[in-house]
Amino acid sequence: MKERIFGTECEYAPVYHSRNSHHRFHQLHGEALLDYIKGLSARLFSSLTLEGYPMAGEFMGNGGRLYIDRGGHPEYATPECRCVKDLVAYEKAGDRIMQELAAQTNRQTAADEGARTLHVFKNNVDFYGNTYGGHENYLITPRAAEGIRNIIPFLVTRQIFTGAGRILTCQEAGAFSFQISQRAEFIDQTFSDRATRVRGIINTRKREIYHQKQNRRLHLIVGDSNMSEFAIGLKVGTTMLTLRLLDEGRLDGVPVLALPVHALRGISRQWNEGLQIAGRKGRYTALDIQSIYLEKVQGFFSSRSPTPDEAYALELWEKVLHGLRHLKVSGRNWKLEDDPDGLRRKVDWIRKLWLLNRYGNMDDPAVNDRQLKLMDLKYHDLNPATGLFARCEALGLVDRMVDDATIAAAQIRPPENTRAQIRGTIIRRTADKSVDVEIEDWTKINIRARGRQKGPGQTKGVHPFNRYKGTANCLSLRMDDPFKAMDSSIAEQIERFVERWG
Amino acid sequence: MTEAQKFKQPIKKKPKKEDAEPTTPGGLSSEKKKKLEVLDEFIEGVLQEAGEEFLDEFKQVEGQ
Repeated sequence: MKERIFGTECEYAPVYHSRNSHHRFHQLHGEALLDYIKGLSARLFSSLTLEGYPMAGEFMGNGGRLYIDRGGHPEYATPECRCVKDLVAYEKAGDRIMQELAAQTNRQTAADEGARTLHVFKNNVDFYGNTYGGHENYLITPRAAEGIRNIIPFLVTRQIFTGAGRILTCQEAGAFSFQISQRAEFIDQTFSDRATRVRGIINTRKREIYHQKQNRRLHLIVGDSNMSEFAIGLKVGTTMLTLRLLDEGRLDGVPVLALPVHALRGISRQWNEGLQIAGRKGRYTALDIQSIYLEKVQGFFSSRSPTPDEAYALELWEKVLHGLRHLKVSGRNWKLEDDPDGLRRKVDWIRKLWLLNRYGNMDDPAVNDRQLKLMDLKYHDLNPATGLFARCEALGLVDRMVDDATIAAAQIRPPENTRAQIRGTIIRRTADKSVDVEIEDWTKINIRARGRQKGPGQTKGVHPFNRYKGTANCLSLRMDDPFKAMDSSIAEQIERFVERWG
Repeated sequence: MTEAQKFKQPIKKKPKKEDAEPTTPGGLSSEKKKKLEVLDEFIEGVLQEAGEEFLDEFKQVEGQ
């Protein structure tokens, strides 16, 4: 599969911050806490109309989806994308939308809530150790699905450039400790069909998708949610390249890890100590394993031309591994000693470590671990007035992969080369029309007139052929093929329907 | 110590200025130094504003 469809899903964390002790919601537990979080998410979503986002149920005009997921988290799923930069733009668009909704909500409730402000965070674990996900979906071939074990070592080790970083408090770790991945601690098995309690590096829950004989869905829940555009691009780009080799049956001879989950956690906690993980034929560092996969990909493309997107992802991968080979982090206290390639501008965990190092050594008894933990969480605050990553970005201290104008466009317009274009166009085109758009799932759309016809000789009123209403005033579209974008035939059908019924 | 008392406690530890970007060869440009100063002030302000009780408020329900 030379080109594939992919997308991400992100569960955000809404937090009401009060500057007085009257609001003690953190003492809530169980259903009461769940109801509270759901209430915060509902407040956020109530600002969608005020912000002017056209919606059809949970689906947005950019082709993505916004909904309340398990745990009451507001979740944004990008539209289906075909290239890395698009995916980055659409994921960052989700961040911007969430922040706009929070700001709008705060404006609406300023009089009632006093000093309380609603913040939205993009991370994967709260202060109490509850986790929530940043998921990835890739379209793969059945051949790749059969050999999926061969990408496990890649997935276990890619955290060295995709990790978002995390401080463990004394309470959690017994001493100050840093981890490069937020999710590693919450993965329990190599494969699992569940997404809570027993999480797998690869989620095997089956989903019906188009043309099952040719296409499968790979669902990954092992990754961290990234603030850095480069980290998002690296995560998806390197995975896409690895899957290409798997599709082509060219991923033989990669290391087999003895204990993948153990290795995942070990790398996250002890990468700075040069941890070597056990394979069936020897021991490897995470960087060794990433280099083996990179060499396989380089070898594959030595005799064939990569697509422009593959070439771009390959270059990113080469550069980040080069930088990691020269990065020096103290094995004793996670002090960032040397970063000659400036990876702190691209990789979240290194940027976070750099910020924490500026504040103080993590083994310095004068530094309060709660303050470090606070910095850790504030890194992920989407509010530019209070978020550490957002401020680094505003100061030009992080590298960008896409510009603000591209992200702004991705907030409202769908990608032009996948079925998301049809979905997004319909939602946008019908936003102020007298039709309802019903979207059952990612593949089906119905546009229905609201029982009124606006035409010659009959300006308004109930449809005269009411018993045929189900077919006469409804346009149903199936979008089974995710690669198929808008064409003139579909555009004409939509225009004709909207002209007649809208 | 009450939450309110905790909040009033000043953040004591100042960011380190001298080794701001130890990995940059040839020292820092004045523009870069300025940016780092702005960042340090920002961090201090954010930590002060949030207060440590913010950690207790950062409570979620397990997601997927």
